[in-house]
Amino acid sequence: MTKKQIILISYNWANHFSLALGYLKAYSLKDPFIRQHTNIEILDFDTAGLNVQQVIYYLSQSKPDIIGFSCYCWNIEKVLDTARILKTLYPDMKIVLGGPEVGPIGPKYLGEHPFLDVVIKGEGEITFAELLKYCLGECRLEDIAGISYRFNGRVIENPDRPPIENLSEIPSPYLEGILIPRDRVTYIETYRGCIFKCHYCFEGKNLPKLRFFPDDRVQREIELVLSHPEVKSFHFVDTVFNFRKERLAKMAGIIASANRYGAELRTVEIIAEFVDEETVEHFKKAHVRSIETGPQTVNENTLKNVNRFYKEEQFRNGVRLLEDNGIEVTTDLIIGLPGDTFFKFVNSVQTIIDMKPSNLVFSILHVLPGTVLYEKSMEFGLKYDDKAPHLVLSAPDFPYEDIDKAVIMAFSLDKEYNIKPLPP
Amino acid sequence: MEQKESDSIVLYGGEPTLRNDLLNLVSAARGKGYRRIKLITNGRTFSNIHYLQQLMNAGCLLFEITLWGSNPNLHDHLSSASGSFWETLSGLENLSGTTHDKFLCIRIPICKENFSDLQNCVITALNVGSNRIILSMQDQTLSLHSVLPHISNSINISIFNRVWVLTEGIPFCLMQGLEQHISEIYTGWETIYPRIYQKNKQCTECIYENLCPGAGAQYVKKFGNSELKPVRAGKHFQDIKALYD
Repeated sequence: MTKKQIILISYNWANHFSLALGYLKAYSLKDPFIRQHTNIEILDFDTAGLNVQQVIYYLSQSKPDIIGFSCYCWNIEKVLDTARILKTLYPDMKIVLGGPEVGPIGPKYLGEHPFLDVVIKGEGEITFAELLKYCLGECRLEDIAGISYRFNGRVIENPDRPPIENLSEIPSPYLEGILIPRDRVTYIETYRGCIFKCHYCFEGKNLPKLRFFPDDRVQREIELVLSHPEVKSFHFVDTVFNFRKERLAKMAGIIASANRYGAELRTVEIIAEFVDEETVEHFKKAHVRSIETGPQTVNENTLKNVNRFYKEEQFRNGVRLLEDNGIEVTTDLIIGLPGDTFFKFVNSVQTIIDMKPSNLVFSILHVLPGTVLYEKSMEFGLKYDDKAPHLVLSAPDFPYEDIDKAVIMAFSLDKEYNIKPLPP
Repeated sequence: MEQKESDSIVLYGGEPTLRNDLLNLVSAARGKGYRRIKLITNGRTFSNIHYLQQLMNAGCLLFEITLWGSNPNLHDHLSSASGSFWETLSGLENLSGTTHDKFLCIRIPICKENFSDLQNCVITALNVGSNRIILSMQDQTLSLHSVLPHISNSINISIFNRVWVLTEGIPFCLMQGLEQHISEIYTGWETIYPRIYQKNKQCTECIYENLCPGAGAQYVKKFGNSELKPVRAGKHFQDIKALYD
C-alpha cells in the first residue's frame, strides 16, 4: 500500500508554531498502523507574511491526500481561501478542519463551504487518528465521535467526543522530536481546562474539568526546552499559571533547576488576585519576567453577566506586588461586554491605569463559537459579525457608535500608555 | 517625584525647546525611570531632524504640538512668529517619518480668527499622523454658537479617520450627544492652561452642575448666558458621575 501523504497546516502569527498540530501528529504516530501507512508533515505558515498563492504553490508540489487545518478566528479566512482553491485543483484531496473557530459550529461551516469534507469538534488527537484510520480503510466515518462530515450531499453530525480523561495518552511533541523548541515561540502545556467559566471564553465551558499532564513528562519537557541555549524565553499556555500555589512552587522548582542558560518565562496568564509575596517568590524563582491578567472590566454588573472573577483590592495588590518586584504586568480590558457602556468602559480604563501596570491591552469582544455569549447572544442582546473574528457590533447599552468610539479612544490610549522607550 | 508614584512626566513652558539643556533634562528623567516623557511644544525645532532624533533617542516619545491654522498666514499670525507654520509642519513631517514608537497629540486652540479653519486644521493633523487631536476653546470673545458646527464637523472628520478627538473649554450642555469627546470628563478640571470659569444661575438646575466647569466669566459678560441650557436628563449622566465618585 502506498503511504498516504498527510499535511497539517497552521497559519500563525509572528513566526509561532502550532502546539496543537504537534499533538495531532504525536498521538497519531503512536498507532503502528498509521505510522506504517502515512507520512505526516506539519507546515507552519505566517498569517501576515505568505499569501495564499505561495501556500498553494508549495502544496501543489506534494499534492497530499489529506490536509488538516488548525482554525482560529484570526486565520479562518486564509484557511478557507486555501481549502477552496485546493479542492478546485485536486477534488480527491480530503480537507479536514479543526480548532476552536470551527469545532463548535462544524455543520454550519460544512453547510456554507462545500469544499470542506470534515470538521473536528473539541480535542482532536483521538478523533484525527481515527480519521486517518478511516482513510486507510480501517474504520467507518459514522463511528468516529466528534466530527461533522458530508455524506451524499448531506451534512452529518456525529455525537460529541468527551475530553481525553488521561492526558498521558498524548505523547509530548517535544520529547518525540516532532516540535523543536525555538526562542520566544515555545509553549508548554501542563494542564487542560480552566477553573473559571467566563462567558466570553470557551475553555471553562467546554473543558470544565482540569486534567493534568503527568508531572514527570512536564519536567522532561521543561528540561528539554531549557537545554537549548538559543531559547531565551518561553511560555506556558495554561489558562491560569498560578491557580494552585503548591503546583506553582513545583513548576518553579523544576524550571529553576533546569534553567542553566537563564531563559525567561514571558506572558504567562495568571489571576492577579491570587498573587501574594510567596507567589512572587515562586515567579522570581521560575524567572517569570512578564505576566498577563484580566480583569476585562471592573463593572460589577458586567462581571456578573460574563461570570468573571474580579476582586478589586486583591487585584490591585497583586499588580503592585508584581510590578514592585520587577515583573511586568499586562492587564486586559474588553470593549463591548454586555452590561458595559462607553463610560463604564472608561471607568475600567481609569481604574486599571490607576494601578499602573506596565501595559494595558484593549481588545474588542469576540463573540466566539462555543462560548456562552455566542450561544445566548439573543438573551444578552448582543449583535455580532457572524464572520470571524466575530466582533461584537452592539450590546443593549453599548450601541455600535459608542463601541466604535471606544475602540478609537482605546487605540489612542494604547499608543500613549504602552509607549516603550529604549532602556536608559 | 518618586518613580513608584508615577512613571509619566510632562515638560512644558513657555516653550521648553528654547532651553539648551532640554536634552539633558530628558536624559535625566529617563535615567530616573520615567517611561512616558511628554513634551508640550510648538514643534518648530523639530524641523531640525537631528535635534528631534536626539530628543527621541534620549527617551522623549510623547509630543503635544500646537497648530493654530492650516496655512502660514493664520498660523504665523496667531503664533506671532513669522515662518513658524512651515517650521512646525516640517517638524511634524520629520516626527511622522521617524521609525521610533511615538505618540503625537495635536492641540488646536480655537479663536475667532481660526474657527472657520478648524476642519482644515484637523485634516492637517490627520495628515501628519496624529494619534489624538484636542480642540481647545480658548477665546472668550468667540460665540460658542458660531463655533459648535465646526467642532461637530471636526469630530466627525477625525472619527471617520479613526483618530481620537477631544474638546476643551466647552460647557457640557453644548456637547449633548458628543459627551464622549469632553476632555474635562476624563481629566476633571485639571489643565496646565489658565482659564477662569463661571457658573451661571441656571447651571444649578443642570445634572452636570458639579462636573462641568461652565463658561468663562468674560464669555458670559460678553454674550450672556442664554446659550447655556441646563441638562435635566442624559443617558450617560450616571456613568459619568460614577467616574468622579
